[in-house]
Amino acid sequence: MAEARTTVPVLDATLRRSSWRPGWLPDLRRWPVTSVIILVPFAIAAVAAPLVAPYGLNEGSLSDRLLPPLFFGGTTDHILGTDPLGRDMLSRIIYGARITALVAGVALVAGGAFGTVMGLISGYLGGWVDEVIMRIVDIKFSLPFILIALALTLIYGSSLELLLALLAFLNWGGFARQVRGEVLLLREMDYVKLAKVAGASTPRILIKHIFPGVLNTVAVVATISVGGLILAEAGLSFLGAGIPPPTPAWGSMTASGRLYIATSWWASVMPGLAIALVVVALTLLGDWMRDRLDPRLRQVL
Amino acid sequence: MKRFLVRRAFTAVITLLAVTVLVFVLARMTGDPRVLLLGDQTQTSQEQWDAWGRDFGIDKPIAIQYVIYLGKLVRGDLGDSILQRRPVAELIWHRLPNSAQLAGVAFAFSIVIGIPLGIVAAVTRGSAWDYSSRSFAMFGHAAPSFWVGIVLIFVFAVGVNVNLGLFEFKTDWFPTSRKEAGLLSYVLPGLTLGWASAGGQLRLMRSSMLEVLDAEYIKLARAKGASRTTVILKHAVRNAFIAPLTYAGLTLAGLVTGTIVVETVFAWPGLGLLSIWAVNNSDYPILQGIILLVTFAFVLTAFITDVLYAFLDPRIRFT
Amino acid sequence: MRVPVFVRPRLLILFGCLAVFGLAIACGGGTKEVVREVPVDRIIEKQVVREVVKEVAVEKQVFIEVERPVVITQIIVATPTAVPAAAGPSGTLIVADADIAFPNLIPCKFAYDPQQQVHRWSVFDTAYYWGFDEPGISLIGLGKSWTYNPQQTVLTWKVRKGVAFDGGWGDVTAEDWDWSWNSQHCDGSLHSGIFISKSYTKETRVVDESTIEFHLTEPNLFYLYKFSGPGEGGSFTIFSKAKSDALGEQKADRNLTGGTGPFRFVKWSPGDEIVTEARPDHYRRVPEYGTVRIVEIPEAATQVAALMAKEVDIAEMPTIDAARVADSGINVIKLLGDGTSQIIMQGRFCFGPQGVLDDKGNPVPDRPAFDPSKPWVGSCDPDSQEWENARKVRNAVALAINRQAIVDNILGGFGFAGAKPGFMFKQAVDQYVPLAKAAGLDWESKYDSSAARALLSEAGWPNGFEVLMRVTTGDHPLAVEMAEAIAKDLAVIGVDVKIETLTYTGNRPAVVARENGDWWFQADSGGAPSAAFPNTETWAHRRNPEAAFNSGWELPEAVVLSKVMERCETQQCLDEGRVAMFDWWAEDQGYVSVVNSFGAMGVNPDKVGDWRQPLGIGIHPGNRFSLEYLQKPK
Repeated sequence: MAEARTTVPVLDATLRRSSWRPGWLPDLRRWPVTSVIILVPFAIAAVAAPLVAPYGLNEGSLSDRLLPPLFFGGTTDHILGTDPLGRDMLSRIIYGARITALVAGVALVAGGAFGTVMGLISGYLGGWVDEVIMRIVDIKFSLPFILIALALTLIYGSSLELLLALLAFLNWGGFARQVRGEVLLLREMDYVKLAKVAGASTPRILIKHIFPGVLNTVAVVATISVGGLILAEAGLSFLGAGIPPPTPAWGSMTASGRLYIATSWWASVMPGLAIALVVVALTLLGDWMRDRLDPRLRQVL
Repeated sequence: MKRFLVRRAFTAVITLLAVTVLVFVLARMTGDPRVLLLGDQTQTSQEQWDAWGRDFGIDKPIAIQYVIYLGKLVRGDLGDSILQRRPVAELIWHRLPNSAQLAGVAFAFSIVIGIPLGIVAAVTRGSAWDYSSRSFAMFGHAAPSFWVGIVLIFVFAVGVNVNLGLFEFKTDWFPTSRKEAGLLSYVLPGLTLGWASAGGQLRLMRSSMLEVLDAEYIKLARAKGASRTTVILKHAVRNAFIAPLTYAGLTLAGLVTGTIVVETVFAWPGLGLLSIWAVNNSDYPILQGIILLVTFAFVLTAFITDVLYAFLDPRIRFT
Repeated sequence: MRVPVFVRPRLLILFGCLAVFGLAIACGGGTKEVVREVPVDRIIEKQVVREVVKEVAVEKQVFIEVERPVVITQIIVATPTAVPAAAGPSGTLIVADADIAFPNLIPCKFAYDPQQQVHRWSVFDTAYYWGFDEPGISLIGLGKSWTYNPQQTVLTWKVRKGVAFDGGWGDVTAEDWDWSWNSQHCDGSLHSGIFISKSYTKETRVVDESTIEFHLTEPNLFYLYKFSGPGEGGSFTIFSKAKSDALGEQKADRNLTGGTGPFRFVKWSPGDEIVTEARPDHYRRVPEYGTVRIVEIPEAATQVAALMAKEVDIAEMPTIDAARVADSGINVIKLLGDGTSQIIMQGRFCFGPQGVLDDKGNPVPDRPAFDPSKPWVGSCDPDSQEWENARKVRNAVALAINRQAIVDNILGGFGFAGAKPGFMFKQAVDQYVPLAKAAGLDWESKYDSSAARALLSEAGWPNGFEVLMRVTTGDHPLAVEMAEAIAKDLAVIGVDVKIETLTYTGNRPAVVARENGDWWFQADSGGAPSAAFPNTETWAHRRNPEAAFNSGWELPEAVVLSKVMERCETQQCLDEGRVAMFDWWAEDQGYVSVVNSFGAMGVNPDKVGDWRQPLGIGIHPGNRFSLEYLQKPK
């Protein structure tokens, strides 16, 4: 396809305008403070769940079910209330951070790696290889993901492994497209041409010379697409094809808690808020990274 | 030029064929419809089994089935629903307007939320205003849409009692679900779906605003003494506005995915509900039809725009 | 000037195309899919205003003395007990339902279980219903009385006279019965519940306009149940032959007239709504509500919201959280339902040393998933130690589940702990099989973790084992939560249950083929809507007579016992067979029964008052959607 993109290396406006303030204090505006404030506690929760959580993952008795959160008639025993099986919501959310991070992480690495490789090959080799890969990416983008995921889940049964595979599939197209765009520019660079003249093999050029150049792009795309993965998990849970219990993924907690929303709203609202906060923070972080690392992507992402 | 057109048409056809193969294979993966309807073969007489096979057109080798399927497709025949025994095209055609209307309203909402906030965010870049408007717009995208929908229903349809001293009222302004209450019933589902894409609109508006604001002609206008507000509203916004509008085309597939969930929550009789029904009943011809419709629309629009663009913009490089 | 990438003609055009495309769809799309048939006769019918209070005369039961000591040859004669509503039907009632499917009104090749779809809204009556006040005694419906010949091979039905099909298709006659029966039992029929009636029917014979005989190949006690009202599997639905003749099969299938119930269809818009209206001169019961709108709301949380906002008057309460919901201005009615839930321990698909023969006389082979290494399978030989150990394992599992806690906390009191013999109601069975009561069966499922642990180590699994439990979703909205509670209970005795969820439809092929050798937790709601989607359709897949109700569970003893019962000619024999079956069932624990759940119906107290529910008889307590018995608030 004709690429009519006018690539303009736009320098970040802030970079030009604001400079380091006098003194040792860095300008906070230049750092994604909001994201960090939100993400750090969740990161700690994910890493040290058993240490941080007040209760065990499946601890609780049915007689304590659906206790309200603190300030809504609850006590400090269960700050965020309890779920329909009497388990502490806070602890479930803390453990859920771990599962959610795991799911998003694995899907991201798998999809990202595959997509990056596809993008590298497609961009560097060009020609019919490029054409085929890009058409596949086009098809991938045009398919209604959730319907296909749902159909496959109903055939094979929902399981963590299938969900990871589906999410990785959801994810790879964006990487392939952006990386390819980057490679198209990089391969015209003098140092790449020199390496070619010097007789370096194609894999060597791709790995040694081009891959480092696309890392920024990969990082930005990765940050921006994590949110989508977390949400896809939640959407599939709503439609009955999420991670099976008792694994405490946020999406499935939100989905199963919704039956109680008329009377015990916290069962669904708390994990839903956790998802929303984290995804907002990740998106802001992604925006920031894009502006800093790869301003060119601003126009396409 | 001709070469480009031929080439582009060729790739579009290949893509469409690939999609039909994919969908066909997916449908076959859902299993033999006879197993669902009749139990396994050992429990049915061979005659009945074969008769049903002929009924569903699955008695021939798979390659021939595909050719037959393709032939019907060309004539606009998407096959018949297994359970309902009616043409899939007809079923889809009945539901399509509802989904299209909802998508339209959602798009309007995403513009209404995303554009003004995008302008604010760009103008106040880096400030608390920037962050809060971005966070607000992104919240709709960041929270699961079924959850947003249900919370909106309970807050704005079931209603919450608000007591502000003098003013006391209940926020039960909208119907909870279904599209019977006229325009009011479009508000909550439209908002749920539109808020989800408002974040994208905001982002595009914000970045294109920033670029426009940085442009020489803006600086010139400012230097000529035009006020900041005038410059922003008259010059910058007008030029930056077009970018987010085009976003609609790029989110067709995304919108379809979104409508599935939102239609389920709001009992909206559109394609999303139909597709869920089809999935749950393994009524694969319907599912096949809907997936095809969505992908065809996507691929065809891309093709047509490329072609038109080639005619209208002679600067394009034909590679 | 820098041009942002998106402000390019190409994308503008793209957008333009999409806009045109969208407009075309939005404006040019088809109209709403509505099936509406208004024949002339109906308009005339509407003018009939009667204030007749029908004479109520319930005649006594007549027992016929015959030589052989059979009890089941009896005639029950009754006339409808209902009295027309004083003021006549008026007002509109709005009911939320999870799925408005599509009209399907011909007997043969029903795509849907008719009982779910047309009986549910009281548009079609069946041959008889069990009455409301004294279960098992009064008989109302399209049949007036029935009798067996002494050999119990000919069942004669007297057809109630003067019952008109809706839409001017004339009165219901024996001819219509005959035609409907044979259509419903046609070759390739999709009806789920006709296995017994099809295989035992030799022929049907119309004697006169109001008498029809069903000739059986051999006596069968269950045969009669096929004529009963909704709630008994596979009800026989009576359609108008004249309608089908006049319109042809295809058109008759979609035509909404021809009903015999207290309501008639006015409109059926698939995936959207059904509108019915009361028939002011119905023979059985004139409803109090003039119009009923049944609207589709698939999401359970939204149904509750619509009820709280008073947009609908009746919705099923998926949370079954009555105490809390009551604060929000909703009344919750408890519905005696038959939602059973059980763990089905699959993998015991073998027939022991003696084997079992199929209908053609060939030995039935072991099934693919038969796996003696599974703790709950053990062996195929009932005399072996492994067999005994496996039984202990199953009993240990049954002992380890705290059923009452599930009832109290998850079901909110809307149910009761499942009895040992699987799916049976004790109350119902006591009534049904007097001998069972006399035998004083050990019904109660006990809860004793330490005993369970002891039993498990006795069986050779002191440290427990791991097992996959598939949970089929889409029927009981709380299925997954119940499964989680079970998993927690079993973890106490060391059984590590891994849960996998999938739909009934998704699970079905493997079950039918007996390819699953692990556990299956199946929770029927007795009709409550599912959490995520409607699910009357899962039942639609149980259509093939032979495959219907096949839960992929087969054991030699059960097969032998049920074969004995099927050949029974006396009530005594049948009762004894049942007692033996219950005993075996309670001990064997092939199914581990968990809980029986009631339905919960949320109603708007401004519109709905009392609801006399049919008591029914036997396993199934009757039709829960009998809207004609709903009363307005006093």
